[in-house]
Amino acid sequence: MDNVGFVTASYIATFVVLAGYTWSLWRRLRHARRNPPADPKR
Amino acid sequence: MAQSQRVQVLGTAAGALAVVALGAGLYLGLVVAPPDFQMGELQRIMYVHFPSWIAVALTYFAAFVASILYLVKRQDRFDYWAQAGAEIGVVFNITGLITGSLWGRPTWGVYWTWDPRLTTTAIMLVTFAGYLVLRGFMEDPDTRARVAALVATIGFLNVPIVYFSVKWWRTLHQPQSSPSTVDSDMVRPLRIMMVAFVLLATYLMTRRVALAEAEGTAEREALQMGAANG
Amino acid sequence: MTEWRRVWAIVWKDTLTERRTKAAFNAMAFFAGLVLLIFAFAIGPDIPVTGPAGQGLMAYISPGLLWIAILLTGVLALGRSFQMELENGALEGLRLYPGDRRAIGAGKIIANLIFLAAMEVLVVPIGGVLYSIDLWSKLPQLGGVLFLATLGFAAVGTFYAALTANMRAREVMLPLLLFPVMVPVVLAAVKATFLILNGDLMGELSTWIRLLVVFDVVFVTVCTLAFGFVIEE
Repeated sequence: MDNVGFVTASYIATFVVLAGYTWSLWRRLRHARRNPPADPKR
Repeated sequence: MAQSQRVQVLGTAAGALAVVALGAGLYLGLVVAPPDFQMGELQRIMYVHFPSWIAVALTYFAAFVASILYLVKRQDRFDYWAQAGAEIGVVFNITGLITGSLWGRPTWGVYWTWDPRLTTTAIMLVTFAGYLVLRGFMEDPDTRARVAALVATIGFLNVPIVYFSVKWWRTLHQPQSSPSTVDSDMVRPLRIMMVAFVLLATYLMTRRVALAEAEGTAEREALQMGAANG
Repeated sequence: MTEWRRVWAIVWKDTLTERRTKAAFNAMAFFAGLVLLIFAFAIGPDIPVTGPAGQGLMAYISPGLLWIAILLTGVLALGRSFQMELENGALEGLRLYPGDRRAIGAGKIIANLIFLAAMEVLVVPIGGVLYSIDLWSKLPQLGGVLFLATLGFAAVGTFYAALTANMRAREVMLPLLLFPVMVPVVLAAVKATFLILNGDLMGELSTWIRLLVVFDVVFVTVCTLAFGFVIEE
């Protein structure tokens, strides 16, 4: 891998992790708001 | 409730600004900024690497302060903030370590060196990942919040001691890169990306707190229903 | 003064229980010896590598091996120290006693320090024999390093053992939480042991001793002061 490859890989990795987390947070939040107390998770 | 709604509105604003700043930072960092004359294109990794650590410092520190406040005040909302800080800190800790080792491979020839900063951040990741695992194993909300707050406090206090121990262990280390020594075309994207990451971390914190609040309320109600039925 | 009497009452209670049953200590000593043997099998004493002073490979890396053995054995012993209190609701009884709960923490830390030290008194000579380390002439300095490192280990370990005592999966959680915090202690203890055994040409030993002292001061204080939070409810 050349230097441009390392740069590309870091940007992709960073944004994949951040976008993935944000997306999963949205999903969990929507789930928690849609069915509140009736469905105790734990 | 009004206060937590205001926090969410502020979070939305921070999120919107973060998107703008990320766009501007990416454009300036990847298009406008010239390649560094020593490191070449590799320099550009700094625009995502260093801001990650700023976000990590901010979120772990928030988790530490919230944990202390929880131990003193015993209000659930501080537990929610501590949980959010730890979880988002772990996310940025992961991006920081990935970009750091992708930077290390072409610079030092290896993905991993036992550099004090690198090692300390790895220990930080293990500490706060352990904190999150711990939370998953405890059912009673009050005990969980109290135990987690103590673990976060001890873990955070340990960070400087780890840093100095590793620094003395590896007397060879690179001097810290400071933004003042580099060209303004490089400083600008770095500053903007730092602001963007801080805004993004703020936005994520507010949403994670909202999630913790929804889950915590549901948990309390379920416990009360269980107590009423049984 | 009365607080100190409470502390000593806890220490006395724990050491008496252990002297009467000897259950934990025998198992611990046996386990530690076993770990030292396993290292020899895993690494092998016959690898033709020698340290700068011409010592064998096992002797050269023995500071690290000894401290891993102490850490692994210690975490088992620490986990037991609050397990014992949970049987028959003994911890409830302790909580009901009048006075400051921090005395319970201090007492437990001292009791665990005594157990760990007793274990080390066995483990270190066994290691010395097995790996042919020349440690007999350096016992006083080694004892000092062992004491400083074990104090920090006992303080944080007791604290986390109490936190995880009545938790699911505590056997995993205790090392998972404890080991990251022990990083400075392990680094300093291994380095100091190495310098004592192999000679301290650069005068680095005092740095590591200072680090151990700082760790001990910080965490003995924090773990004792915060102990009230650990066993409340």
